[in-house]
Amino acid sequence: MTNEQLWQAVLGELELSISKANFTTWFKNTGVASKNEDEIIINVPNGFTKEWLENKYHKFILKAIQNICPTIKKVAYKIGKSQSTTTEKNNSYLNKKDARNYSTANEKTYNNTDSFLNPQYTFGNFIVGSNNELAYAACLAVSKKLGTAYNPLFIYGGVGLGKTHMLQSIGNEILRKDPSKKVKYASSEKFTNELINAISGKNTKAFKEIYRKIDILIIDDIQFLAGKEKTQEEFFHTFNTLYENNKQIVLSSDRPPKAIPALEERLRSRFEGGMIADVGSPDYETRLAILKAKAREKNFEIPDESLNYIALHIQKNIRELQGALNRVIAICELDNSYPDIKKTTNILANIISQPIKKATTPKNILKIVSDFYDVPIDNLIKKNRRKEIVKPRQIAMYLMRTEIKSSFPSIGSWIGGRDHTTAMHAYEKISREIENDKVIEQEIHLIIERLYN
Amino acid sequence: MKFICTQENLNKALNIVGRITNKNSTLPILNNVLLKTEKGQLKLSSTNLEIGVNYLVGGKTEENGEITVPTKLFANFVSNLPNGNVEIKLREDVLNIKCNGYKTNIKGLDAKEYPLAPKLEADSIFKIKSADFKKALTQISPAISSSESRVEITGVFMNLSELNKNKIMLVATDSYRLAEKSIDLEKDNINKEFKNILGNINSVIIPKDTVQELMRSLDESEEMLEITISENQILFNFGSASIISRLIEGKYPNYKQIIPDKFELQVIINKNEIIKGIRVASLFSNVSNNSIELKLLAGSKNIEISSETSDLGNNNTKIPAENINKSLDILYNHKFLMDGFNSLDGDEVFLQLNNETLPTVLTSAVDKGFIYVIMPTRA
Repeated sequence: MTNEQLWQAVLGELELSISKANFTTWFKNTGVASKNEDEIIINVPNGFTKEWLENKYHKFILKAIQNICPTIKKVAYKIGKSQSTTTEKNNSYLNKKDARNYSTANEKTYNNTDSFLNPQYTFGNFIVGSNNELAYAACLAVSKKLGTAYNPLFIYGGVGLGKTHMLQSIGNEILRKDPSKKVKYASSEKFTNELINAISGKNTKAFKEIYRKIDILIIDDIQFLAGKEKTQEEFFHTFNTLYENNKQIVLSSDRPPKAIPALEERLRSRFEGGMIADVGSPDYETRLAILKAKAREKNFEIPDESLNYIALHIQKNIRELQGALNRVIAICELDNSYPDIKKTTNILANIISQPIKKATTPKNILKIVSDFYDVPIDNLIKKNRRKEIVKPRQIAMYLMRTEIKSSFPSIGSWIGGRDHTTAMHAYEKISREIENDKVIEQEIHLIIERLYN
Repeated sequence: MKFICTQENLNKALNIVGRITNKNSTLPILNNVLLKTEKGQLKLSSTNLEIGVNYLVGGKTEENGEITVPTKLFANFVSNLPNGNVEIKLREDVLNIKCNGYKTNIKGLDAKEYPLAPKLEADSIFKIKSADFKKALTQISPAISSSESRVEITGVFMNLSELNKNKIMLVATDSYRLAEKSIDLEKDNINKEFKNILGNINSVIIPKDTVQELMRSLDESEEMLEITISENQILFNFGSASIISRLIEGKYPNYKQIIPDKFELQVIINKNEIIKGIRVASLFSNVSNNSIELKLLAGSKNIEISSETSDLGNNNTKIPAENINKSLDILYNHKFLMDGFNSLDGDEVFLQLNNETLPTVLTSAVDKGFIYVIMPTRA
């Protein structure tokens, strides 16, 4: 029996004779530090725990240990520090590596691994449903045939639907098969920041080399490159270099390349040159499967009925789905109750009954629309018939009609005192276009999402 | 238990002991304060399992005993009592409190259930005037990081490696700014055996919460504060109080090498003037990174502080300054800059810079032991 197994067995016995609050408080982060024939030393996290175990629970602990290991006569406690941290502290009080970490602290990246991947995200724990099977298959293919299957792979879909999970899974899968491969995962914000740092440090050459020597480049949330011209240019060159050398590129975005505003044409056409796959909202069965997988992962027992309830009521977003389940788990563990359907309904009552839509105002709509299309509010209101302004203006009017149910005359007055017939025309025109044009539909969907978030 | 003391003393004790916030919701008794008669005095203790505070209240003990009562309730009640003598009496598990016309019964929980404060058997390392230590903490504490992602900088780094030169160093940083205070100790106040007691400990990191508790509890007096250190705990003894706290494990970043040792510019300014200027400029600071701009023009007798927000407007303030021998425009987070100047002593302060990307150092003419380093923000 290993020390760890021994301690688990002891804890199991102690748990029965001590109240739950006391048990979790005093036995959290404890373990066996060392053990020989007749003595055992227990690691405890702090001085309070040490005092308490020594003075209050010593008898229980000794008895529980003797039940399993009758030869033990003595139990001692010490405040535990893992061996490695102590030695590190002594030897390398001043070392250069640390200084480097310090200087990069400003970039808020404390991760040491080169790939910046989170090992939690793998294909193994990804749930495939009709909403994402195409994207999933494409990702899988990419991870099998690097650079040749689909290059670039472009995945888009709304927030919290698993894009990042898929992207990171590709990286993790490749590293699992061949740890020597150079995988680079970055959000477009990080890419931009690194570029800015390189420019201000007059070190662009090093930057170029880092990004052009890798086997697979994964950039998350590429839509944030919109409007950043220098970054786009640099990305364009990186993209070309990698592409010409048959290196894999994977990108994600919250909308298709066509719908990303202020993206240079040459980049857009390149994004569309490979495989584009979308991820939609999960259907009921997928949601239920996700919940089941999550509950199993956390080793939490919950009846199907309760999972069913969660899956039925939280529909849009996987992250929210997970949040709801976490809430149920947390509360049930806290008061030690069983998550039957009644309990679950109670716990989630205030999440689910929240009105899904907060009220919005015409002013807010104007602001979001102007941000989204990157045109100043003034231009939306002023007299101006340029095409790139007319469309956002009409969309703003459409949204005022659909989202706030404003009357046409009041919409007209919001948009610079225009006639109500103008507003009617805009509403009808956009309604018509939505039916025929996927891009507009997608854009409006995104604007609405921003309106309420 | 029966004990009589003044309302002022009891109230003061509860102000010190009762502020510890309980993060551990699983053990309800941690919301209580422990009252115990000890050596003719009443000992109040509270803990959140990371830090433990004890405070002795002088008074008359007529009967020994111990109990725990809800801290907030007890403290609120005592603070509302009139000045005068307070009599507390324990009857089974109910504490009854009498003071002038007030009579109250508070239900308590058994003291046996209360966590025992850990003991630190070692001898103390050094003593320092409470007022000096409090001031040093007040100067550097704004820079302590709150970021959960790097626990090692969420506390004050106390460097003991120069104790043999009668010196300790206190440091705080959040990686955007850094404050360092070196304190000279009197030789007589350092335990001669410190090397043996400390062993291979040459620095400790004191958690932020403990630092805040210390700043609240320490008086600005000549009273000595005694510090005892072990590998993972630190004990502060002063007056009637003692605070024991865990230490943060981990390695503090090697901050020394980010502090430039040469400066191209050493501008002399009046502290109060520049603080006023920053305060005004902060109203128009850049929304995304809270930055304001300092403009230095070679040969000029003024520093210009300016800020602009397209929605609100802009501001421009000129502050008299001396010794500007190089032109430079540089951006700072206004809050970080303000914290820095506020921590400096005296009226005459120095702004030492090299260029718009390297760290800037603030020092004052009167307090040589304190420096404040701030990273400029990028445009």
